[in-house]
Amino acid sequence: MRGLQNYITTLLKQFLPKLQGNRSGLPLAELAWWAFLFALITGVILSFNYRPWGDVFKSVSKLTGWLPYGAFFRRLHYLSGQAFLILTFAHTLEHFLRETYRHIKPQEWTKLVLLFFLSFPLVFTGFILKGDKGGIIAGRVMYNLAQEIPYLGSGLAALLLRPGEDFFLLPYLHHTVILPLVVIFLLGRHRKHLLPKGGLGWTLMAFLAFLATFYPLPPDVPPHVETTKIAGPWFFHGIQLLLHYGPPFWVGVLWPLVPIGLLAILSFIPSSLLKWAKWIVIITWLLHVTFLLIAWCLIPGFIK
Amino acid sequence: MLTRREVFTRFLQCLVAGSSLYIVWKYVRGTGPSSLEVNFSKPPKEGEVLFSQGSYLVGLKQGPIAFSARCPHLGCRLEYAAMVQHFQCPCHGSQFTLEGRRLDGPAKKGMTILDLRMDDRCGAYKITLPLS
Repeated sequence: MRGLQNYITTLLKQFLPKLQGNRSGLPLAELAWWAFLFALITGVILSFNYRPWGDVFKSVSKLTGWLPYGAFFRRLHYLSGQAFLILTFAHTLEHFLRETYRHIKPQEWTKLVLLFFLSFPLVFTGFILKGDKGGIIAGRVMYNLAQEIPYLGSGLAALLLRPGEDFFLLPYLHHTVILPLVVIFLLGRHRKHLLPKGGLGWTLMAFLAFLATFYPLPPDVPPHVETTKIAGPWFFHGIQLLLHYGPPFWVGVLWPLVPIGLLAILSFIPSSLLKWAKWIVIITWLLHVTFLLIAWCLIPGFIK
Repeated sequence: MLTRREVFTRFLQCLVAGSSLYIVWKYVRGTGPSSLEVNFSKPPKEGEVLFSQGSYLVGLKQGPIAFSARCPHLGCRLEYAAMVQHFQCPCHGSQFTLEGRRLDGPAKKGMTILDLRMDDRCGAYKITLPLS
């Protein structure tokens, strides 16, 4: 274990020149904040033409196919959201490897992990709001998974989504109002200065705009079309694979929450147990990545 | 002692949080329809499977039977595979016979049977599909 840890640390030192201490060597937090801002701005632009009621798929198709630059803004919104999730993950991972949780106030660490956690529901609700078959089914699976939670399930499910004509309204409210507000609030508390510093933002914007020009979005499947395989958002594929075999509550609710929960409480754990806790976190995350890779590699139809 | 700025900031935070909770609460308590009436204009032939608005009408030897198209596992929409003549879940792989019995996969029970009524005037079938 110690040898492996030393090896990883030495390897990372090649890329992270200032690995010691709390200060980050990479501007990941700055980039993540910029990505969130782009997602916010493009989201506001898209929201002028998006209707979360009636035929949502038609609304999205019109937005993508008919409006000038609609497809470009949708791609940019999608890519900014993905960039926010990935950069927040990278920022959390970097500080996990630096063992920052040993040196900062426990609540500061928890805020960082909470921000990382919130990036998942933000992207997930965005996936539902596409209004295509994948989005509708992802919404239903989320609703039914929430209902599997003992005692709290039905109340929580009612807060997440409402089956029927207003299927998209609550995810829309979460995606556009509640989750962004909570993220901004936490960022304001987590960071010393709320607004990101310039420079890097332009580079990231140019990169995302370049990608948005050429990168095709995953295809939207119309809700009435029959399909033999439906896949959720990419980070959910490992869990979707496990849901083929395990009980929904254990596999679909507890299993994804365990590594995030353990990560969040790391700075509250006494130092004598910290080494063990750290390795449990690493092992659970590696298992998640393994299931994700298995889902991608072995099961046809997960990635199109 | 709080400064005026701090009081104002906290007031704004409470206002945003309170109004968001109020909107959510009002919406969750809303009184939308809890079920949907689905009509099938013609009866299915034996072995035929008809689909409309989240429900299947299957023609069996003993007469037509209606099922919810939602998988009893996690609610994905079941697809009818005509080649093998069974229903299958595109998300997690559960499979069901034409009679709605579970064949394979993570679902613990068979498909949900819906109440089927026949309109004597026009011979159409009506189903009440629960939305939740």
